Amino acid sequence: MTSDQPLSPCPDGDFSASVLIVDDDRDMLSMLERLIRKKFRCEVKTAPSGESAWGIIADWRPDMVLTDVKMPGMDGLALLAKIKEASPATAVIMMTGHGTVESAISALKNGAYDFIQKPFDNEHLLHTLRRCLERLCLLEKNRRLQSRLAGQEACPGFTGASPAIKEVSGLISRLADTDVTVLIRGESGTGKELAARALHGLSARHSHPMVIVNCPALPEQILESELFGYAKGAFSGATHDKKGLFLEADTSTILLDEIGDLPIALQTKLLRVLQEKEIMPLGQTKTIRVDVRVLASTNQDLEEKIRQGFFREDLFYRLNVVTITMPPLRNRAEDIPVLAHHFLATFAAEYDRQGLVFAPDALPALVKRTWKGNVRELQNVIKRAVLLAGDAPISARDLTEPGVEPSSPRPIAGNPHGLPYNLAKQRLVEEFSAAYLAEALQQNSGNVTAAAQASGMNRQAFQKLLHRFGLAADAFR
Amino acid sequence: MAHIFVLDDVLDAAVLTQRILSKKGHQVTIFTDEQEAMQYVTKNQVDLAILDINLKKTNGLGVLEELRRADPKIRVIMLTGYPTIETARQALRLGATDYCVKPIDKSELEQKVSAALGN
Repeated sequence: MTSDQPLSPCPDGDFSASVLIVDDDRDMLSMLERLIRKKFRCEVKTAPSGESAWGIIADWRPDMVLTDVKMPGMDGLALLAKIKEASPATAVIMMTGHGTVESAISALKNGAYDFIQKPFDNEHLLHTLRRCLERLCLLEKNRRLQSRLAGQEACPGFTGASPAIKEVSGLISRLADTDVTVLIRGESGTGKELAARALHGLSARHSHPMVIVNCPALPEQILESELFGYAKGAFSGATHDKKGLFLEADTSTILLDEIGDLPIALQTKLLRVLQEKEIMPLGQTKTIRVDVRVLASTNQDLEEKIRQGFFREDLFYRLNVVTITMPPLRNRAEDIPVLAHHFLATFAAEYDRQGLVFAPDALPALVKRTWKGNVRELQNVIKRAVLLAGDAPISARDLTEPGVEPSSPRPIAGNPHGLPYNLAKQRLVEEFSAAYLAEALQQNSGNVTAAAQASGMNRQAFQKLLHRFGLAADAFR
Repeated sequence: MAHIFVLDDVLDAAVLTQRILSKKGHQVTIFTDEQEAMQYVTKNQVDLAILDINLKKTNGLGVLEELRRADPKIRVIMLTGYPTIETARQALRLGATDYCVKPIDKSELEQKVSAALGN
């Protein structure tokens, strides 16, 4: 980086601040905006009055406010008081051309971070700003460390207190603020993406969006250009440069979801990125350095894939610096009630069904059930129950799929095994049809017209079926 | 009552402050020399320091900084005849509780001291 480029105030380069400048003098405003943009890597907004600044702060919380003191309407001191009340963490720097000792004391005693006298030379201003940003950066770091210490809090999105999940969230907290490559394994529905989000969210990279690539969703050729980008003219149809996802994830995190499905040709290229921290877009001869943290997730047996020759062993070892294994729900059954309540609250709020509760038999039924689809299945079952719920509490019955036994598929009557599939299916359909028709006749006391109507058929079709299954309407009269 | 020390290079000014605050029941010790004052502070528990800014050798801001480093709990009021925004800013940044301008009114001094001591 040369000295002309905007600098991040943090030594580790990963804190980007937001600054609001307030001054009734438009020239001063634009001069300050240009100066700050040029010198610091930060988001800058400006306001020509105290009132408009307060309006901006209502839905945009800047880390730092640089404000003139003397302005018509709401002056800097009034703005300071309002800001300190609403958002004590925001640093406020006051500037004034008509400074008196009293106003400076009053500003500083009311929580201003600093007080600058106009006219100031730019170096003095920049020095003050830099010091303020450094302090904000340290506060931010401190906040992150504190939240990591808070343990459970540290992993946003993880619910439950079982030893299995505690171990995982502890591991995540410890790994989050490193740049180490992490392989996240676990059955489908156990929260692999959630773990990746937690790793990203707790890292210093959290202010940049995480990029997620679903490897099996894209065909090989497209995946390569998606990941690494291409230069204009690299192939017919490449009419402009395309920034690949790795470049998109520069200074952030990339999650390669379902890495086991990455085509072997791309595995070689990925290996290069992991080793060299460089990418080479298609059709370009120069490599580009990227600062990306790589996370990969899979529910497949990668060791087996290596044996079969579908996965490169060297890539495996590159990715597998640290492994986080998400526990399946059966290993943390004690978390099911907490998770159930958590999802109930979430979906009740989402679908505006406040006040829903579980009946006493609901939770034991959930705990007993086998969850092949893990937490995601539990989540879906509760979502469905919330959507379909009446005013009564959600009972065990509401939490089962209609016609599906809670644990395993219903055993088929008779002995279908040993029969070819088609024959077994035919027999089952016949049994079902006969029972259905008999039930319909029973309900309608043998009245064929009524039974047909209740079954959504016309009379002729119903008669035909009765004939086929050897049923007589008379028998039900 | 509180234990207060006053540092002012002009003895008369220090004595005046001492008289006012002693009447309020405080134990007040006065110094005109910053080194003697610092030595005193290291050996005695002091609640509040009232510091002039223009001193004989150094200035009151240096003393403020040293005092706060030695005892982060100590309250400090700066009292100066030559107020500037810059020294006010520095004083408050260094942790002074207040910054007052000479000549100071008797009742204002009493009130500032009482506020600084937190009652």
